[in-house]
Amino acid sequence: MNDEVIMRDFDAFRKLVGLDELRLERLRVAGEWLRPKVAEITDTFYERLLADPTTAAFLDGKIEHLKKVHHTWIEDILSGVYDESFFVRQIKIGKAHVTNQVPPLFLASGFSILRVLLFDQIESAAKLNQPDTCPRCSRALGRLLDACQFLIDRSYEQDRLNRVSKATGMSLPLIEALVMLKQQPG
Amino acid sequence: MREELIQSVLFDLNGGSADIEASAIISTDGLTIGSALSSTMDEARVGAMAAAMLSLGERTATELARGDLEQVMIKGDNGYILLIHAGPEAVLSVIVRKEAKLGLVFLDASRAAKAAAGLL
Ligand code: HEM
Ligand code: HEM
Repeated sequence: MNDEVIMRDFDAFRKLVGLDELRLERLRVAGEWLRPKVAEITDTFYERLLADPTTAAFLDGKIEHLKKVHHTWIEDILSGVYDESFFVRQIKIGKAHVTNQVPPLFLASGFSILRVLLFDQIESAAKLNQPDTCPRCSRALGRLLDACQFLIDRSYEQDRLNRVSKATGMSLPLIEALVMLKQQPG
Repeated sequence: MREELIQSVLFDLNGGSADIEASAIISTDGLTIGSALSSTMDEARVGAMAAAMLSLGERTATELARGDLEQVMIKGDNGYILLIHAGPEAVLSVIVRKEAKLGLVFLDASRAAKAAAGLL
């Protein structure tokens, strides 16, 4: 399973979750509201991660560096540009976490925390500004985060298959064929 | 054309020995290139398993410094399964009766593997 295959699946996924022009426009609106808040969001993100002893232990000694890295990513998802290279970048980000042995559970909780933080910000921004400018921006942002999480998660799956392939000498197409065999009853 | 020639290699192999019940040529990715299997055998399943066994056999032989893999033999109380490389990209899988004289089967199978490799 290479990047091309991931992107082919992803195109189907993008259609299914409906990241169409309307939603992309809503994302651009949400981005404008949220961009000034990225530092605050990143700070709170880290407060939450550091409140948990397992993630805190993992982050120990790397916080300053990682905070910058994650600040940049939040800016990126709010940039308003969601072309193919944006999504290919998410695949690379998945690989970076695999390489750095970030447990998949940490990413799942990271995404969960970040969703809540971003939605809270949109809610308060909507209260302060024009309440009816973008009532559905949170939903569009939710769709984008789902898409990013899907692509990042696929790297973990791909990494496991690559490891099986390396250990056994079986090619990736062979492993795929074994996975796709009809289940025998019992 | 190539498939037919491979098929004929397999029919010759099965026909030439009463000890051989079935045989197939499978790509190292597990796809069946040609087969003379009985109707109860699932081609996709046999193919994927044979290719997997060959890969594991190869890896194990290397890991334990046994050199290049020549064959994998599986023995059950109902007979044998023999796997031999047919060129670098394929494997000949032969299903053998339990009463078989293995020396002769090995010989026939090696010859068939070589013939099939020449066609691939
Ligand atoms: C939010 C995502 C989804 C959730 C939480 C969900 C949940 C469930 C649950 C609870 C069951 C019953 C499992 C059981 O029998 O114990 C089920 C069955 C099933 N789901 Fe989903 N599902 C989801 C999405 C989908 C989608 C998108 C499809 C296909 C387009 C799908 C197709 C099926 C099928 C075919 C069954 C088996 C039904 C049967 O027993 O005949 N699911 N799902
Ligand atoms: C919302 C979920 C997350 C996103 C979207 C995200 C995003 C990113 C990005 C964009 C990078 C840079 C990748 C690159 O170098 O190409 C990165 C690196 C990294 N992230 Fe995350 N991250 C998330 C959650 C986490 C969590 C929860 C942890 C740990 C608790 C973590 C640990 C790391 C580490 C260790 C690196 C490698 C940094 C380096 O040394 O360059 N990430 N992440």
